[in-house]
Amino acid sequence: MNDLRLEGTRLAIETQGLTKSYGPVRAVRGIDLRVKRGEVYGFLGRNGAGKTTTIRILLGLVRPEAGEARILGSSLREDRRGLLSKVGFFVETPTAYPKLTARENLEIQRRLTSSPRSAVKEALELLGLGEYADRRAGTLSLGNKQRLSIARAMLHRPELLILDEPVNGLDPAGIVEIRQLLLRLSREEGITIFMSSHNLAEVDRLADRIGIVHEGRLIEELDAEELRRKALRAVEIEVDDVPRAETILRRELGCRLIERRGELGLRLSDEGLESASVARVLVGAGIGLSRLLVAGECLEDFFMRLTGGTE
Amino acid sequence: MRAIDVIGCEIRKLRRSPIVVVSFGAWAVGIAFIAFFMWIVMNPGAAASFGLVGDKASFTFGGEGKNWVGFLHVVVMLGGVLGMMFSSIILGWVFGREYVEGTAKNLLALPVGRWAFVVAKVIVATIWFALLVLLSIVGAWLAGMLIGLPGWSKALFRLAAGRLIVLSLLAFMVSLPSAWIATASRGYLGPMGYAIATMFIANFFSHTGWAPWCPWTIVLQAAGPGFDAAAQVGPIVGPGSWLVVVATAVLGIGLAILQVERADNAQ
Repeated sequence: MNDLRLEGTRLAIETQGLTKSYGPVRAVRGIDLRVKRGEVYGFLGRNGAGKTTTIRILLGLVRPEAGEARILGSSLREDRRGLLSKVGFFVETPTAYPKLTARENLEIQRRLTSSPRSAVKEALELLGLGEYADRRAGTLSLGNKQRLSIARAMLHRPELLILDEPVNGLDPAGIVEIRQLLLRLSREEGITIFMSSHNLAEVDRLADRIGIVHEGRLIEELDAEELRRKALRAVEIEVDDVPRAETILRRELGCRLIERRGELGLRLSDEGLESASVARVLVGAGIGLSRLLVAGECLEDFFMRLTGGTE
Repeated sequence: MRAIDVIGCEIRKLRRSPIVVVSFGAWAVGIAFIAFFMWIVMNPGAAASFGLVGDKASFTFGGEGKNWVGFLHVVVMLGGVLGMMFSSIILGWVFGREYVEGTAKNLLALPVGRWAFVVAKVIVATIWFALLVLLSIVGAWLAGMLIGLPGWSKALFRLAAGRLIVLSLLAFMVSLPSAWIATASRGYLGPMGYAIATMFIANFFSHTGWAPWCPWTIVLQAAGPGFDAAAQVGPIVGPGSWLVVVATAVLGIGLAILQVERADNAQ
């Protein structure tokens, strides 16, 4: 019991068997998440996979039919207000009161989270919104509305940031800026960041761990090291005698997954195949080896493979 | 978190909203319109020379007296009946805008009791509507003086103002279910439908024995009778009807709180 409690305090988010349906649509089916404090967790999934519903459950906006969510060691049922004062969030689309300025929108957040007066100015500066501070939110570009939503989420210096597609709508420079900001918040201030995204390259760069949700189920949860281990690797070669090279590789190294690529190319996808062995065997047999490349599966390929490609 | 902060935030949201100015403008135009018709009734010759028909104006008012009693009666009557529609629209807007503008999800996951938002919004809507009632009183006095209505008396004006305040209070209270409808339907249209539907219901029950027990008919019937300074000043609705109105208000606020506390907010 004490061990469980101790582990609970080490986790920023812990869910057990979260389940939610909207009519006949089963949005979330028994999701078990474990997000450690201080880490950046990338929550990946296609449209309608259950990401936003999970986030809404975490924030208490939607009630699960089954299962439980614990945030920073406690349940929302036990201490909703206390917990939410430690959580910053941004759900789905950037929204603000359109007739109020960026500063006034943040001022509302400041008062409702009992933050110090200086928090608004700091958040505006942190997100590079200084020159837009007195512009009405309704006239801001999508990217600046996104910044305003992120500023609102972190204005009260939360321990946990739950961000739904935080870089959506930002230009490349804005994406880099937000990435650096999130990394700094995580590394220097120890803030836990739980972010959902469609931008796989972004998650790959930012996240310490990744959860992949598909059709309401968490189908994979792994860190960067595990991704490297689990991702398929292939050895691609170009030789001067393809039929002979294929025969030798099958006989000497037991290769089974050999695929011809063009006139001189072969792709070897057997698990655990060492590129050095391939080179040694082929050169030893007098075959001219003009190219050898180890091709690793990127997060996008891995994600597409797990979620059924473009079906 | 102090209650004053939640109310302060609601007032800040309203201050920049053009609909507030529009509502005061529409209300002022309404008062001016009544005064203008009263002027036509008083000056049929002048009205005819402008191409206006005096008889028609008289018909529209149901032949009210061409004096302060007639004028104030129309102001009070329309204040009560239109007050029901306006307060539904105000409540619908204050609550519904959070869903239309997509900001409800930002509010409902804040470390503030959700009930506090409902209460703060009701308070702000009450202030808004109270200012409209104040505008009616001041506007009616100004307009009546401007067109030189005969039969002015302080006692009469005080009676009319008191009646308008009570009627407006009744109208606002029976409109409070609009707050729940706006949160449940997530927008403005539901409350507008409520305003129209309740007007029909009010009219329907006004011809039956259920009139004192139907909240909206209570307002409609209380708005109707004429009055003058000499009339006995008594309660305009009975205690049973007050109970119905208070119950409607409590139900409206209670359902709105239940809605934001218990229902899914998958906006």
